[in-house]
Amino acid sequence: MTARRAGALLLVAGAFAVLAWRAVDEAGPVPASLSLARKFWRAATPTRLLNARLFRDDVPLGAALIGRDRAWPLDADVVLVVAVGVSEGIAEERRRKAAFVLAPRRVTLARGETGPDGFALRLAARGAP
Amino acid sequence: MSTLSSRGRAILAVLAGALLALGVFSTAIVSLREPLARGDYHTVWGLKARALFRSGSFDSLLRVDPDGAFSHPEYPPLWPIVLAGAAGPARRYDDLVVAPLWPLLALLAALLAMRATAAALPFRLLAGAAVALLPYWRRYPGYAEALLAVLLLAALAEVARLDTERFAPLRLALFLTLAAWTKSEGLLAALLTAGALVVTRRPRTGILVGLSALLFQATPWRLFLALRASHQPPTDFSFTAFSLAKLVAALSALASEGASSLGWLAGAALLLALAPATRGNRAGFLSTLGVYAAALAGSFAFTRLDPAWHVRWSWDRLAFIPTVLLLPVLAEALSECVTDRTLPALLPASPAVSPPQDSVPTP
Repeated sequence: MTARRAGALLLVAGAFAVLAWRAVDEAGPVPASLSLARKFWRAATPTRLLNARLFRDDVPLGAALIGRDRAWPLDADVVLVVAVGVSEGIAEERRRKAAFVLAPRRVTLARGETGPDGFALRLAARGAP
Repeated sequence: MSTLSSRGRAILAVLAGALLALGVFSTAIVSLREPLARGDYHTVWGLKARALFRSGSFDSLLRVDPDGAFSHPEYPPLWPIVLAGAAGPARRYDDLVVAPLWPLLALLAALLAMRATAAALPFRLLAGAAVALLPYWRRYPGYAEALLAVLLLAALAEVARLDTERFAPLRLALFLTLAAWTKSEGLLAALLTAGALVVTRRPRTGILVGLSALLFQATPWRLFLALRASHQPPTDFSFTAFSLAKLVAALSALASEGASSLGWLAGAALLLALAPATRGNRAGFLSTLGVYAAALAGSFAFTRLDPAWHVRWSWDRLAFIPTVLLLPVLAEALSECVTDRTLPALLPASPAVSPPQDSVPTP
């Protein structure tokens, strides 16, 4: 075996060992992943959405958005009201989650009185910018 | 394969096949165990796909975020269209129902990498396995670079067929135009490929590729944005935002972020250094790929955002495309090292011109 051949094979074997190890590691324990997958695939669409990582830390917002999504017409735009003290970053993050669930509706952000969960949702006035 | 026994060849093929299967399987596990919902999927691609599916109107791509605060209204719409199309049979947009697209794209990318590799089966399988095992597939389910990679690999596979298959130039133009419909980096790839084809004395194919991308993607999409957007959405990049200081900051951030990947870069360079024939055959492609990678890095000089933050946020996804395109060439280099056999020229000489054998391009 030439040095070139041995060197190339060694290099590539090392690279594939790292790639394969990472793939196994990132996929996590397969039984746990399959169990999680089974739960999600058996659930209905709203349950899937509510339990997705998007709302893992914000279940009340997810539940409210799913409810409004069913009730409100698609051509109506929506205002997400967050409390005055909520940081800009968190407010924007909530707006993005709201836009995702309520698409194709446009979601704008406002500051004001909210419920106990720190947000409120209302329909935007027609023709509002 | 002069110096590899048939048994050695078979063992290598089985190993490579198993690695490819592991790549696709791990990608499937990660993407199918929960609904797509990460980062840019929920703020950009999935958001637009939901809007498109539920409204049935392209205007909804602009309506969800007319100020361009987070959804990048200016991004081309092919990936959201594909996602919305995949949701069609279910009659509702569901982020889990569309998730099987992801391992399918990984498999398709692996198969196309095999098609783009000019080497014996075990090495083609290794190219496919390397593509499928890249961490991108498990870190960014639902993002658009996967479709871009598939289309650019499809284009790369056509390059070697330009002289032997009548419709290869048309397929090349089609794949690159679709790449341009996927992400701006696709348009850059199409234009660079067109330029490289012209430089390597294939002007007709180069013009076909360039015109196709400009006439069938850049122009209609810009027109749509100009006519349908209430105002021009802001973009992350602008020619007027250029500054050398940004470029320096971006390159410094890139060096810092990419330090952990230097080993991979050195390994790739070493493998190419060991394979002079592959380097020669692929010189045109490697040059074009180098220009493409440099253009992607240089684009940060035009960012409107903090360049260091912008690099940290996006560099590994930007690097995914050049990496995917390099892997078939690395498999050819390995083949040369292992078999001690020089590869056939990538492109047969064009009958009309003297042979630019090493030619072509396609980042």
